[in-house]
Amino acid sequence: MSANRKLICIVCPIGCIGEVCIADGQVASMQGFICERGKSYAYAESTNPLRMLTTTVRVRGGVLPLLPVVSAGSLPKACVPVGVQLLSEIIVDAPIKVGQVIFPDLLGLGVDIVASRDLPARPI
Amino acid sequence: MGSAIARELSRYNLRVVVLEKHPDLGMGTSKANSGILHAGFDALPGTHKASLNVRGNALYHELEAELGIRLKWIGSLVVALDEHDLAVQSDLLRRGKANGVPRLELISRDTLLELEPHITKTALGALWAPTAGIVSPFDATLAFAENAVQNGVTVLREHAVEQIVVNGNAVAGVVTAHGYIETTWIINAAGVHAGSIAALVGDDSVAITPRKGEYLLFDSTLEDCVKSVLFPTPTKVSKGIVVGPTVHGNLFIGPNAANVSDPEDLATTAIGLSEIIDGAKKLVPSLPLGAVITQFAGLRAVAQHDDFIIGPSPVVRGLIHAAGIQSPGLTAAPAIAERTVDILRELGLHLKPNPRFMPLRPAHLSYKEHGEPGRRHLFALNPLHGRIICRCEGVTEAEIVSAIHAPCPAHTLDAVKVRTRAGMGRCQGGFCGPRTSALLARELGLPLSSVRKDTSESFLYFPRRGGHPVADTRPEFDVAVIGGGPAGLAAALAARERGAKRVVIMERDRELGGILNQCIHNGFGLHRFNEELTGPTYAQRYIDMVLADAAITVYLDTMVRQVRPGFQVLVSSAAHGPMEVAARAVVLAMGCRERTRGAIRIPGSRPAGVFTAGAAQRIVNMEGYLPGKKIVVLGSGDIGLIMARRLTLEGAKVLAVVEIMPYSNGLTRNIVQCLEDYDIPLYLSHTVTEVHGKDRVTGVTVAKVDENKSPIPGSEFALDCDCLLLSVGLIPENELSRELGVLFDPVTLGPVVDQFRHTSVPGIFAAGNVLHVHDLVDFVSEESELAGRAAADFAAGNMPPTCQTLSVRAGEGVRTVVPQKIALPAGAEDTIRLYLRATIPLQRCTLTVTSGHQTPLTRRFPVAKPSEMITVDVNALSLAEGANELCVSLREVEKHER
Repeated sequence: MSANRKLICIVCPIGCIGEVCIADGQVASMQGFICERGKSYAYAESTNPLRMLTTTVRVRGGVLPLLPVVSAGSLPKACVPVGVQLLSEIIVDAPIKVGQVIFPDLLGLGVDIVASRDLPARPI
Repeated sequence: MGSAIARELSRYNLRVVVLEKHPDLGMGTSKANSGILHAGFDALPGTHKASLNVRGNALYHELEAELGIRLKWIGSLVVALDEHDLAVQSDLLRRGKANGVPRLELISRDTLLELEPHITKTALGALWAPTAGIVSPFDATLAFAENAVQNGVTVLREHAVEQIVVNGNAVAGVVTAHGYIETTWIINAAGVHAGSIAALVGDDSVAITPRKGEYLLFDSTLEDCVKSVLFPTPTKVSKGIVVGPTVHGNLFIGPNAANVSDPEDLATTAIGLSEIIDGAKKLVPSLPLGAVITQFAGLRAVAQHDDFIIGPSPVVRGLIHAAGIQSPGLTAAPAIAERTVDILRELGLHLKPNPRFMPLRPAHLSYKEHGEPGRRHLFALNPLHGRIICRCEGVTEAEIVSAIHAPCPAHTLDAVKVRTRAGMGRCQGGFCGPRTSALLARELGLPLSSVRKDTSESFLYFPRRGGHPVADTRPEFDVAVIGGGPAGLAAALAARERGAKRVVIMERDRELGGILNQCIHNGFGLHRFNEELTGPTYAQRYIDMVLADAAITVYLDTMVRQVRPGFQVLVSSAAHGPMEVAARAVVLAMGCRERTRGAIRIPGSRPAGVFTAGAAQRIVNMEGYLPGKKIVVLGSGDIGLIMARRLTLEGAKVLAVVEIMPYSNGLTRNIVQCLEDYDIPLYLSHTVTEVHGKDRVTGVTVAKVDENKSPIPGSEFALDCDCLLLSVGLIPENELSRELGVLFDPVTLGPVVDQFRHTSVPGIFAAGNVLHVHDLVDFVSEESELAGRAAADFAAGNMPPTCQTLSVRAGEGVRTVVPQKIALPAGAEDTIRLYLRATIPLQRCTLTVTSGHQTPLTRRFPVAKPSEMITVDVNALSLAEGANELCVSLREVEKHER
């Protein structure tokens, strides 16, 4: 089993459009990427694409109704939609400080979800 | 009187204006009189006074409910002290019956002493008029005026009438202290000045003699001293010295009667006061004079024949007099108003009912009059009810603030007093006067030295030596930064680092951070912080630095309305109201706004569901709602791409991103991570040609476009969606800058600036998206630091003098370049960074900077995309002497050169 996949490199503004041939889940060959950084991007993107997760969670008692959150590190790309859906269910209590862990170890991936900003409590 | 007539006129479809000479209504006779609603037995039958008194008294029964006027129908007693008085009383009884006064009766000495235990034991009997009442005369005036204003009447205060313009024997208009007003009808209700008004047209039919009456007011601890209004038996000139309660529970005595020549003479006199004390003691010998809290005088407007003058001027058409309104004028006022309107009708004024006339002015209890639950409720509605300003009368800050902003607003200390009673109590404003003055200053945006007692020139306080207290002066700053987004935050911090002592950031939103707060995705800060931060985190870093610096003042919920030379910055702030801020230098950092559907003219219906991408981003990321469930995005700007991913992750279906250009306008990374990751199709060289749907979007028509961006007929296809998001460009928000008169770059749509981000107006700097739209916030911060530093230098007078200015021109292949000018010498910052955008996407190109015949810089770029800003540094020292222009161009390297 092998397949060719077109990839746009995002490492630099050139944006090389190359092709990666995947055989049995492994990178068999690639072409069109002009630098080493581009090649390693293409390799990672073909074997284990990673993304940061950003979304919002609901807040109780805060000055704003939503808290933006971000994953403390990158996650496998395929886990992002599931993670966002999971986080859409939760509610956190204000006050919150930037960097505070909002949801530890998302999906057992070893990556925490942390607050993107301070969110003070609403004055009573 | 004028207010009552205005209220009566407001029943009809007329344009009515009340011209008042003073800063408040009812400042003449209305404000200082006995406040008695007379029963009506005094006047001779057949006079205006007689008929209008009785009618007026009856009307107040209706008005009490309609206008919420506070009345007490406590009755009056005319006390007889000798046999002659008893004879006069019988006359009064007969006269009263002839005038139609109901339920008048003579009562015996015993009955009288039972009714009024404190009355002199020498009393022989009394005439009892149960239909008499008391009212606060100012309260009545305000009720009439407020209801008139509610029904469309305009009140112009401090508009003294200076001239009446007559055209062919008829009224044509009035000249006031503040301009000309055209009118065909004038009602002369000018009180003691009615004669002067008539004289403006040579009408001598109104001759008014001011007749002073003095009063003493007692503390409310004497509330039960008398139950009804006590009159002595009248003489020919006066009803005599009255002892009576006020509607607010005080006791008053007065008035005497003395003709004066000056219609402004409101001074009390030693003779007058002893006269009223003597007179009052005849009725109530035990008056405790120690309980007097104040004295005052009012002027009666006495006409030559002693009766009211109500009717048209014999001299000019259109002038109607309602003059000589002395006692019982307050009682008769609503009846005089009716009579005046009848006269207008008889004279041919067509009176169509005002369809929106609302007779009701709801009564409201003061804070003091409420019970505990009511007070708690008031406090819950407005926490300013928690602060008692006038402790004697229990008046709260909320009551005073609302009087200052009422339909007939209180702009003087006395105006607040007569509305709220703050200052009416036993300390007579000793405690609350300064506090109320400070509230007036705060609410009206004035220094305390502009607060007045009652009349136009009655300023209460003088400025101290050395200038106003700091809290009272307009706040002064070295640098004022307009906008608290990334540009404003960076500019403020840089200005401080450069030595600005006081910096202010004025932000229209509820918090600092600007649009970054809604950009919850990551990718910010690679250049600045060497990390990939989310928008809120990037903002947080700057906000933390700003908040840690006590010399940076932040005004939130504050909109800058105008920047005037000097610089006066006029703002409207949620916390401070309208306010003026002074600054030596101003940084414009207002950011940009989104192009709208209207701006790109998409035809079709206008249902709900068409949003700009940024507005949708706020709804999704800040408010927690979705703009749609099946979405088409028009335009491949970064916000549109980011929102396509965001909405997909939130469970919506993004059907397509449609881009009119043959290339994307977003960063490659966003094309990959927002569209390709989620299999969202991108249609290049396509556009939306029509929006469908009545209530909500039901779909859009998409068509392919030719090289001129015109839709190709036959290429249309439909997409069923419930939402269209527009990501079709950003426009610098420069309304303020335009008013300032700065020069603009027609392509960036921002001001023309030099390398210091100095605009064409000295002292005005601009940075960030207000200057030119950026794609990376890192560059916004960097550029804003330039502006902040230069603004600090300007404020301190340290700006290097400019000897020469080079213009920087966008040459071939370059759409925009910022700065558009270079000021020389360049000062400490020799390296000048140029920010430019390519006109079209280029491969393998050379950027060339030429200056005269020299080429100080060439650089090669593998690609140049319009969507990605290019920066190059030019050394100022390398620029050719004598050249007056720098040209930046981008050319693809010829094939043979490669």
